[in-house]
Amino acid sequence: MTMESGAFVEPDQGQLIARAAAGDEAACAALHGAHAGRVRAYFLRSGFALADADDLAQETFLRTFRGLGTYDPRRGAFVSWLGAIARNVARRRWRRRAQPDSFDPDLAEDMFPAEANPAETPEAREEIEAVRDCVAALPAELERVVRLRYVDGRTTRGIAEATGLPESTVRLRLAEAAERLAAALRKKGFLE
Amino acid sequence: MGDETDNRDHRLERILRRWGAAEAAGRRADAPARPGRRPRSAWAAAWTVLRTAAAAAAVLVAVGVFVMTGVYIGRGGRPARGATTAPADARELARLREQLAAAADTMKKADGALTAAREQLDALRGQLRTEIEQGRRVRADLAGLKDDLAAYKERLEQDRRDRAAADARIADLRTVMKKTSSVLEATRKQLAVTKAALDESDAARKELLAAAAAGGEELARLKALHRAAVDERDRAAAELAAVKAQQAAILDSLQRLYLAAAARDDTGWAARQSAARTAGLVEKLPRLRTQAGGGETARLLERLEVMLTRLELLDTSDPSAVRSFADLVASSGLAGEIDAALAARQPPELRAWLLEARLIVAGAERVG
Amino acid sequence: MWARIGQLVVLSAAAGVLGGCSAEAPWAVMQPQAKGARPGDAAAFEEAVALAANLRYERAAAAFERLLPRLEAAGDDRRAAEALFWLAFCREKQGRADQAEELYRRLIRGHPRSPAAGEARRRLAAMPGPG
Repeated sequence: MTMESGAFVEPDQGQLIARAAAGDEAACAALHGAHAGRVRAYFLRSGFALADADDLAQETFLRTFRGLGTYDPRRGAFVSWLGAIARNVARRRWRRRAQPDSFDPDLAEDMFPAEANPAETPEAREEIEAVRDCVAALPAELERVVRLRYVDGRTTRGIAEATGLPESTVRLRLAEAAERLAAALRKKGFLE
Repeated sequence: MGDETDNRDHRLERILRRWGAAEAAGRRADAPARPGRRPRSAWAAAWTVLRTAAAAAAVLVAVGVFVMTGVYIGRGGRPARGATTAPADARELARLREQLAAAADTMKKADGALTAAREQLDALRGQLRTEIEQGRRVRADLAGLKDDLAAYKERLEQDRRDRAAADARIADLRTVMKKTSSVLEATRKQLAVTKAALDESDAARKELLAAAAAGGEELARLKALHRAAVDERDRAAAELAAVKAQQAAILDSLQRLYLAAAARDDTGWAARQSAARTAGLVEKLPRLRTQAGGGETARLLERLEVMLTRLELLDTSDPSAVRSFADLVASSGLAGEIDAALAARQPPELRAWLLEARLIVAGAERVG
Repeated sequence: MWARIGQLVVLSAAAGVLGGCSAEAPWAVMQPQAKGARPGDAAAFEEAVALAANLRYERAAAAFERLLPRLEAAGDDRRAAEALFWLAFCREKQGRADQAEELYRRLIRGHPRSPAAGEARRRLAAMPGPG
């Protein structure tokens, strides 16, 4: 199976899960490697500090591996089940969040998408590549706010705190970036 | 169009969020999964230390229990009272001593680890305190910076407002200046016009003065002319008076001659009465009246008829009657009227009659 | 004019010479001063004459009419005769020929030898006759 940085595991991770549940250390490591990024990102996007996010991610995986035997693929995607565990862990440590108002909870939830691995299709991967190129082509100050918003999952306020810009400027830059990205993606054929 | 835009916006948002999640997951996936590989917060470090210390303490306790249990078992479950069989006991004792030494060694090591852990914990606590303090200071600085930023923003806004107000004021002043310039220009033009008018009126005044001077000269000339005319008139009047006097003198002479025929030495009313009777002046009147026609001459004749009839009946020996009649004739103006009638064209007989009547009434005021 | 005056002088001289023997010349008659004439009446008489001289015949006639009885009562025959004459004269000038004739005759009857009666006779003779 493919293990690119940030890439999602192919659909036959059911086998991997089964082997990990059976105690296969390599399978565990692979599973961990496949989802550690999203889990950690979930905690960061929820407003936890980096060290806390790491600890909470570790705790999440501990619980996941301990309860792997109870996971039933027929009831839902592994990612959703993982997300539920991560949410419980986060809820237990909710007050430890360092910057609760700077991050958008909706974007945090994006780390555990409802549909099963929506980014696994070749079309989706192409789209993500295209967006990456377009974002990289933006002027530096626009790229920064786009990343703070869509990668870090920050609110406008959170972006303002991170950059020191007024919120109005942040909104303006986001709007301008959105226009430019829309035009660029339209040119590439990813938007009507 | 709005729906299309909304749809496009939603689609874009979805695309961006999907990308962002992928980026976030990929970025975080690079980070190692186990803790301790990157700088940790003070709390995490302290927690780790505590866990280590707790583990060490647990080990110590376990060792202690193990040792005690070993001793108890070694004594067969009975409290230690005396010695037991010597060689087995000695071997057991040696074994126990070794174990004890090992346990003591372990305990020593654990104790050292605990002390180290405690020291580490203290250091970490201190570090934590420092970090907390720093964090507090940073937060305070940040709050202060935020306040400063707000203040600067406010000042900037105020400056912007002031500049806008100043710009507005400048614009107003420029407008006022423009208006004032145009008013000044109009005034300048008006002044020029007024100056031209003044120059004109000055010229007119000079003309008037010249005209007045000329008029003065003309007036003087006219006055001189008038004086000359008056002198001429006076001369003419004097001449006329002289002529009249001459005429009167001639008339007197004629009258004397005329009346002398009636009364040689008398020019009084008696002589005049005689002369009138002699001439038959009253009797001639009816015929002469037809020659006179109408108008002033007829009226004159009628008045002369009354006067001559009165003369005819006058008692010339009655001084008062004579005086009254003389006054009547003198005040009648008949002499002048006869002169006027004589100056006009008259039939010869009438003219002759009027002449005689004139001689009768001439000098009536002088006749007593 | 001088020639004619000379003629007139001669004429009048001739007339004076010729007229000196006229029996009609009333100037020879010298009347004595009227007895009883009052100064007021004399003045009134002269005023009435002045009215007639200004051709104010109506007023003159009225004045003479008022004066006449007074003059007659005062015995001023000469003035009474003259007043009567002037009254008739005024009536004649007013066109009242009958009245004038009546008054002239009254004058002639009443004061036959007065100068006024002589003048009255002459005027009567000169008045246009009846018919």
